[in-house]
Amino acid sequence: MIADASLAVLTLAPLLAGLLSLVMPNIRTMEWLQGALVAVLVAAMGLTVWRVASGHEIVIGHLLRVDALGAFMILMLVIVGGTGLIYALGYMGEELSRGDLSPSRYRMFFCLLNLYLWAMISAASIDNIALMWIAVEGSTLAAALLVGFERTKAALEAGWNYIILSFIGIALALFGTVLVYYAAERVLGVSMDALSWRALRLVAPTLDPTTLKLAFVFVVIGYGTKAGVAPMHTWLPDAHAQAPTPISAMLSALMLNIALYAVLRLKNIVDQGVGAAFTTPIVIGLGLLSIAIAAVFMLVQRDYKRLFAYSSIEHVGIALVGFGVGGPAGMFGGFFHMLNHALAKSTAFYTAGLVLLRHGHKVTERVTGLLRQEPTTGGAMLAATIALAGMPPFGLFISEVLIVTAAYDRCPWIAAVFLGLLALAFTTLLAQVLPMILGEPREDGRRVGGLTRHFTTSALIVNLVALSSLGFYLPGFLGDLFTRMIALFGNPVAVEIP
Amino acid sequence: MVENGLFLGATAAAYGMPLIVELGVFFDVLVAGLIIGIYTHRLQDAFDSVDVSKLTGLRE
Repeated sequence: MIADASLAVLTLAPLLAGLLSLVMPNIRTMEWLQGALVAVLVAAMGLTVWRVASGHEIVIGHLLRVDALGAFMILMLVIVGGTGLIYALGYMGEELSRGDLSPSRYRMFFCLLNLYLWAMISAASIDNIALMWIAVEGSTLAAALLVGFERTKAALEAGWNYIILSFIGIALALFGTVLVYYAAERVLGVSMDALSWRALRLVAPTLDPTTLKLAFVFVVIGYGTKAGVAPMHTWLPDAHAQAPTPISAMLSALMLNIALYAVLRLKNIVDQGVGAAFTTPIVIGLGLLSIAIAAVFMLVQRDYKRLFAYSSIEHVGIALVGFGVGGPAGMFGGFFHMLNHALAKSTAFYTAGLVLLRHGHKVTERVTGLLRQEPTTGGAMLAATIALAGMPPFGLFISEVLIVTAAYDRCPWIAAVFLGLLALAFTTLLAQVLPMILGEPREDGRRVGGLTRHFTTSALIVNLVALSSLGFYLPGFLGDLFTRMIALFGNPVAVEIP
Repeated sequence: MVENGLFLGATAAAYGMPLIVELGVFFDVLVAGLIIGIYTHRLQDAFDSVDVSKLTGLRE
């Protein structure tokens, strides 16, 4: 009962908050509303995840169903969405108080952000491939308006590229979705059942193999575009760099993961239907390509937000390789990587935003001495960068090691290429970011207000605590979730981290 | 253009997906069209032209 209510809250609260934001009497009440939304979402998420981790799926009607994978996505969405909202209150609030933003645009920002979160939470909770597509498309639409929010020439251009590529991608994904339905309706009849992930997974071996394979190709290219997979990634660096920084964080951490989620769901079905031999080379190939392109392009970035954006492409690639390699280690590696990357990348962007507010430009070269100038910002950026580079003691190191080991078992040269590319990316990222953090501050810039500081620091602390603890300790409920998620994909095995 | 063709193809192959799905897709496409319209308008304000090939500011 409570679990059902919490799921209902999760799927309704952001929508409600978004619409209410537009009509709240003044700015202060709207900000309190956002704070209340964060609290409500965290509580609801906690109940939902707890319930699913203990072995029950939460079902409301025929459409809403949260299994372990859905709960995992919701966990990620609410943690990063929550810190993102808090951070945005600080960041956009600072822009508001500096006069760079009008109150009505401030409201519209939060309305769109709420709708964006609503769409993604819905996508993770709907047991229907077509309605999930609609939700993902909805999040794309909200994101499109958010990317071009600042209305500068660069932002509009980035938004336009985003729109064009995303819409093509999503249309391809729709075509793939329809193909699945086409295959499924022969077995399950013309009904919503033919669109249910759960039902599809059960009847997968009876579905027409050719249709399934074709559908997967369309879906992996379509949703892959949204996930920032190379070679469809070209919109990503611009969009993530030009969007208002809280949005950059939430695009990199959440949108990419939801798109991966969609690909994973279908991969699960196709693998059950025709065996994993079909999807594996596609997924691993795209993954390695993404890492390669990201690592190479990171070398020449002069804008620190674009740098982090390319890093996102790299990490999506890493997760894909993990999922492609498969098996318990590969799958765990992929999932663990998604979670830790979401935390680390959002932290990185939060700090980037603080740098931007202080210095007013995004030129990497001109920023130095962050650790002395703004210890919290510099320290957090250092931690996030170390995490993103794949160093211990962070979870990304663990997931990468697991993926390499699993890859080596399957095919040693994949592991070798993977390691080589990671080494390149590791070096590049650190070479670009360390000069920003160490040394003597050169430019002074414009300090941020006290209230803004409180918001942004809180967001940073939550993220860093989560990020650091995952490097050492896997909470019981999370281990249970992972066990169930991996069971969904094949060999059931208990997950324990010493 | 590409997108219109793809959507058309998708709808043709759909053989009648459940109504709620078709409604949802329609609504999405409608809003997508609106957003493209908004962007075209804003681009026109910023660049004084709707010639997309002039969007070359961002490279690499």
